[in-house]
Amino acid sequence: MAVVSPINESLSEHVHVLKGSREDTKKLLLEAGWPEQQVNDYVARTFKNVPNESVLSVHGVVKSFQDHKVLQGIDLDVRKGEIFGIIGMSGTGKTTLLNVIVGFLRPDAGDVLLSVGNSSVGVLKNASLVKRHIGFSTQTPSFYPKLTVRENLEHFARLYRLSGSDIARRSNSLLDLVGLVDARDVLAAHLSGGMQKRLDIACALVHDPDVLILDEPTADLDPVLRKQFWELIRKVNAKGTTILLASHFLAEIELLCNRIAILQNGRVVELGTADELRQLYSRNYELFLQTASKDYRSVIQHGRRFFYKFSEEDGELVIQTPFPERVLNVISSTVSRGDVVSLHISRPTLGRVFEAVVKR
Amino acid sequence: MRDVFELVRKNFKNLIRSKVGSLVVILGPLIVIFLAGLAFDNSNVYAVKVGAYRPDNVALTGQMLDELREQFSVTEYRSEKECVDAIKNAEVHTCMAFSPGFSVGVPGKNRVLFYVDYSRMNLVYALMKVMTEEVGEQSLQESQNLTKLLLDTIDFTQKRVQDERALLVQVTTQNEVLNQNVQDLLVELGDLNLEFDERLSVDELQKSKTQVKQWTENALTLGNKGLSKATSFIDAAGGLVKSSSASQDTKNSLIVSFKKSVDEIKALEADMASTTNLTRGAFSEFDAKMEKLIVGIQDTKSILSSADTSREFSVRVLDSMRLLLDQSLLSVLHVQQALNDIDERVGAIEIRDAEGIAQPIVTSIKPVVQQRTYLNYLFPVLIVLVVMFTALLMTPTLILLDRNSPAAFRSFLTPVSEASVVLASFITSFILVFVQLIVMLAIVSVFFSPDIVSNVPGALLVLGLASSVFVLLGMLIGYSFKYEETATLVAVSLGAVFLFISDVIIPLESMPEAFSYIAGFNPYVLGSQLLRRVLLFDVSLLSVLPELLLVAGYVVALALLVMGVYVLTRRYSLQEFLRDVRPVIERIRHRKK
Repeated sequence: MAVVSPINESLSEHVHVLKGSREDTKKLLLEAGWPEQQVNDYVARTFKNVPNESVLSVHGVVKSFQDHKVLQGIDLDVRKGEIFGIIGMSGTGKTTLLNVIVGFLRPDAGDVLLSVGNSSVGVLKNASLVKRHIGFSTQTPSFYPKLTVRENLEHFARLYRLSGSDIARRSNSLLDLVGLVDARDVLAAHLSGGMQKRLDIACALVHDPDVLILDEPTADLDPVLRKQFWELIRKVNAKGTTILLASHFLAEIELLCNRIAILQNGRVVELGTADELRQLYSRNYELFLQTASKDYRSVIQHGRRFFYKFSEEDGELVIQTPFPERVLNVISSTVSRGDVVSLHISRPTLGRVFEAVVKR
Repeated sequence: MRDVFELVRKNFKNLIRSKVGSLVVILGPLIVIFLAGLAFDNSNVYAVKVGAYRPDNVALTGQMLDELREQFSVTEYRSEKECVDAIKNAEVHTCMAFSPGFSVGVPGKNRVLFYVDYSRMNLVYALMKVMTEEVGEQSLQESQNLTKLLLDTIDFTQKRVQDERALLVQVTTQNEVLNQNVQDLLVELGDLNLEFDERLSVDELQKSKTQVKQWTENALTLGNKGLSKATSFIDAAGGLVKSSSASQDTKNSLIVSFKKSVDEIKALEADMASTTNLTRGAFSEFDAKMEKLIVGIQDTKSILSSADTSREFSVRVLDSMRLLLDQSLLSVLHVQQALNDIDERVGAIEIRDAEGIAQPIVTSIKPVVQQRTYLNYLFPVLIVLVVMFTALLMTPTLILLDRNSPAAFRSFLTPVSEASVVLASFITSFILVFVQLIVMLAIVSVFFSPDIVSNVPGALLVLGLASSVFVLLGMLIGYSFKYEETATLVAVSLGAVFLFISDVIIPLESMPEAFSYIAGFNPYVLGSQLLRRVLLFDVSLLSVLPELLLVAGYVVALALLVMGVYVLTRRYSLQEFLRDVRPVIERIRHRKK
């Protein structure tokens, strides 16, 4: 279901909270009474970076381990060229879902379809074909520690049946892409954590897959390496590879992903762009007001009806409101400019959305 | 196949670059075979300690112990109990207790009792073999001495019998002659008539003599009478003539003739008288002689009577003598027959030497092959044992190292067929095992027994098949279990099962029939027996074709099983698979109810 928020049009760039496909969004907006032209403009603007073609579809996937149902009917589409993020708390089934997608785990029910050429093929029934079109990088780097960087790449390239010349070319290209040219003859076991992660990505890309699946790719990386890695993901995506990224780093997901699915208790509880999710779970903006007098009674008294929540923390008034302009008007009319020490307005982070989902 | 080659290459790179793994995989079997070679490349029982208890200081027991000391360390104890306790305390391996007053060939005193520790089964058999050989050798020597003495006596007896048999024949002949003589004598004596002719009656002779006398007297009387009458007649005739008318001349002539006749009659009468006198004298003499004759006859009669009595006695004696001679001859013949029998029997004894009698069947064990050390005999069992444990332990380790390696997931994601993965694992392990085998064979051939590997192609084929079976079993374990520790335990257990149901510890023949039957299908038993036949007996592969086909069947069946298990467990562990299967089983059970 898609939900359209009754938000001030002037903030529409940030406040349209939608879930679902391009068509679903358009339909819902029209049903909500939006003018068709405005709807078209909105959809075009919102989905400008999102290709419409689905490359990977998950339908009703159920997976249990003994009595524990890890996945309870997962439905989602990954579109060609996008970076699709999956977030969820630990144990919500992210890795299980990815393992089902690549065919490592057999679902108890449901199916996973991969677009290969002009047709969709079931992952389980066409495992060999599917494996040629999917690359997977797990949280723990998956390569042979006793082989060198180049040997690992060449080994997996051979297993993907690349020709001799293609192997060399592809290996060099990937070494360049992941920045391991200088370390090509180093045993993988001797690489640093970041380099190992990059080698793992390279191994996952050795057969030039249509879809690259990344499971917690930056879990063990420091912030600097993590940023380098994000750059790498962008570079890979820029080359046309669809990326399915599962992570519990919300900032990473927010930064990289075109669309995000939130997994909770084995279900996709929310799916949309980062903005859409933010809008869905937090229509409120947050205003942080600090005055020299630290007297906020007037602001609260006049602006209370526009507040969703407010609190005073360390002499600062924190207001959550869906009507930031009106609250700003109240502040400007009740607090003298000289008394204002600081005033910040911010949109809610994906973290708050996630927290909201978890709390729900 | 390219995939398989690539996987095998990768496996070897990983293995070679893993120093510990390389050492364990490559050096392990080499060390094992090297140690085994050092340990078994001899045919002696080194360092065997023998305890001995002699109740008394018999020279023979001392001599036996001295001979044992040449090969073993022999310790003497003061009592049998001390000696037995020494085994329990591991001071000695066996204890031999001699009977009091030990003496060869004397029942009750010729006993040597061995105490052994059966908990050291292999040593027990080696000890029993060696000790039995040692003591048996001495016992045999004594037995040979005794037998030689016996044989000498028999020989002497036979010689004497043969010598004296001629004498006996002579006695027999003489006896027969004697018998014949006696018989002839008996006939002669039987024919001898010593009866007096009763016709020669003395009375009658007396009568005849009297009658002859009478007749003679009568004749003489009659003669005299006739002469008288003739004279009378002539006188009468003369008177007549004179009175006759005849001429005188005639009368004179007649009277002269008459006169002359009377003269002659008178001469006759004189002669008659003389004759009568002579006759009477002669008759008296005759009578005297007749009397003597009668006495002689009577004497003769008496003598003849006593001679007849003697003859009859002699005949009886001779009869009894003949009987005795017959009996004697019979006895002599019996003796002769007995001596012949003895001679014949003794002559019929083909084995005339003491060694042959004391040890009629020489039980020396000759190896069917010309091998000399334990290593030669043990090599087939040993090499298959090493192959078995190497394959059973190394293969699952390699598989689980690969499956549990960080790259396992990525390998799974590659479009490599399951058959290729299984085949690559098999080839990797097989090559490793086989290379180890080659190295082991080379080490054994070079450093220990150069002639140990005679039928190389056959041995390699058998070892190849045996290696395949154990590698596949190792793969089965590797694919069935998730953790290396579990797999190792299972592999060791499986190897132990193969080992126990085999003829390594105790012979198959001494097992219960069912066990023995099962053991016949034990791949370890099959492999070692095949290798033994091929290596030690150098039999052709055709003659062991059924066993080879059975092992090949194992390879095929296990390959299919391994493939199945790999397909099932590639995504799931065995536990997960069983968990998935459990509802199905429950459903089936429910339906049956």
